[in-house]
Amino acid sequence: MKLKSELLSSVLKILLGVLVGVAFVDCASSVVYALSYEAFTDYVYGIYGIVEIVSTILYYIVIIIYLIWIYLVHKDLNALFPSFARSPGQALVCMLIPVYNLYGIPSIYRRIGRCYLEETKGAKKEGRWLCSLAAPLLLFMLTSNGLNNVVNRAEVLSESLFVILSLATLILYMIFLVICIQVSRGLRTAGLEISFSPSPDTVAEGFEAHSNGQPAVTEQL
Amino acid sequence: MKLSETPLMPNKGSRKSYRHWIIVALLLLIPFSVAVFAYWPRYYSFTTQGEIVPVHEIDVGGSVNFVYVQEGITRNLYEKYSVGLLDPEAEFTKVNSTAKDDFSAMLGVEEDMRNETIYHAIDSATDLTSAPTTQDQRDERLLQLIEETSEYYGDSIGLMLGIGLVEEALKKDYSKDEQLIIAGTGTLNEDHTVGSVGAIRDKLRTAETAGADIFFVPKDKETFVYLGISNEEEAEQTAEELNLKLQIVPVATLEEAVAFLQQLPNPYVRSVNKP
Repeated sequence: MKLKSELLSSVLKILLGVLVGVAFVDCASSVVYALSYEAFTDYVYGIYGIVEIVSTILYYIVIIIYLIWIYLVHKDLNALFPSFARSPGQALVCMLIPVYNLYGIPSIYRRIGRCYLEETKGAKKEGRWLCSLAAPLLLFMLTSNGLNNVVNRAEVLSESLFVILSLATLILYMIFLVICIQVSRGLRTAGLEISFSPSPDTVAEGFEAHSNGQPAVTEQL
Repeated sequence: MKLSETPLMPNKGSRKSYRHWIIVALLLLIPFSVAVFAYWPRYYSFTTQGEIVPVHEIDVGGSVNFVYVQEGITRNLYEKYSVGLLDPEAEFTKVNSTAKDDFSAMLGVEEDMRNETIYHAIDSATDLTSAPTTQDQRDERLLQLIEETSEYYGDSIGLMLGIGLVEEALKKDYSKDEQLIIAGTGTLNEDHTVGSVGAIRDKLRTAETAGADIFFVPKDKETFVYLGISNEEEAEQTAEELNLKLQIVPVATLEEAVAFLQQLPNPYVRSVNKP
């Protein structure tokens, strides 16, 4: 069985990994800025500019990929678990409506986590991860948004604020990366569980046959 | 047949496993291409707003202010964009790759010009106030002022430094106990005349932002020898264009500037730039 979100899961994981790497360099640069302005202008300023450009553009690319991915993840979830109540469209609404998304985004992962806990045997660990990450995700989203507003309005940027914002952004990206890994891992496990389930009734509709054309090992035996 | 000996079909999955790497590489090309484009060497010289500085900050016992503007070279579009963010009205001129070296060389020349105008400011103020000073005292003052102004380049400090030194010698306060913010620009020559300078527009914007009431500019309509319009005309144009509230006062000599300040009524009523 092939998951519709599988390809984008792989793409998103790598892009989020690069974004985390770039955010780490940004965070290190802001620490240098806070410690010594001279060292920042002499050694870091050149790299910092490149990091800023790459992270800004990559951020928007990731947002687009992320929205498509969450849509496909919900398509997979609906196909795998008929009892899963949230449709792909509703998931996008939760993501995109301002203010409501402060509830909507964490709720997406809490629901997926609960679904893994209740409906699967092998993805309970991923389910626990997702449920436990919903609160930190909300916390760092609020922190990051709030600090961004303060920084955009500030005429003079304090060094400590600069470092805290970079650190909050880095942690937020890391949370999203972990979430992406756990969601895709849980989906793969759930997909395998359902495909290898002995009862033909449990094979959900809308899935293609094993994509690489090879019989599965269990079928060979 | 053992399971391990089962012939496997050609694995289409291996091609698929590269597909996401290809997509990622293509997507990553976008930000990195933009970064390369933004960092590609393209040189621009710029001038932008600076600040007004009270002469007492350079240890002169006066109440007037001199104005500096920021000048420099940006090496690429990213630096140009960063300067533009700080001051959207910054003016850029495309220059060639040697501009950075030329700029450094120019700073050396401007340092000499600054020292010369300080020398003239000390001499002019001494002549004007008839203060009894020895050559040694003047030399000592010159060295002290050169040190105090070491972070500034160019000779446009001359006129305001001259006025500040006159205030110091005569123990005057032309700002009327800081009721007035008096600023200006212009070089000072050996014969006490005020010479033309650059970046008048940015200096006026800086002074206006700082809330200056009076701004001295060189009266150089007749004497301007460089390309373009004179400082006096540029100041008039800028005041009209930007609807500046400060009063522009063109002066030809240090004496004229001091005479203008001495006749200011108390309380001061700001006159307008327009007739």
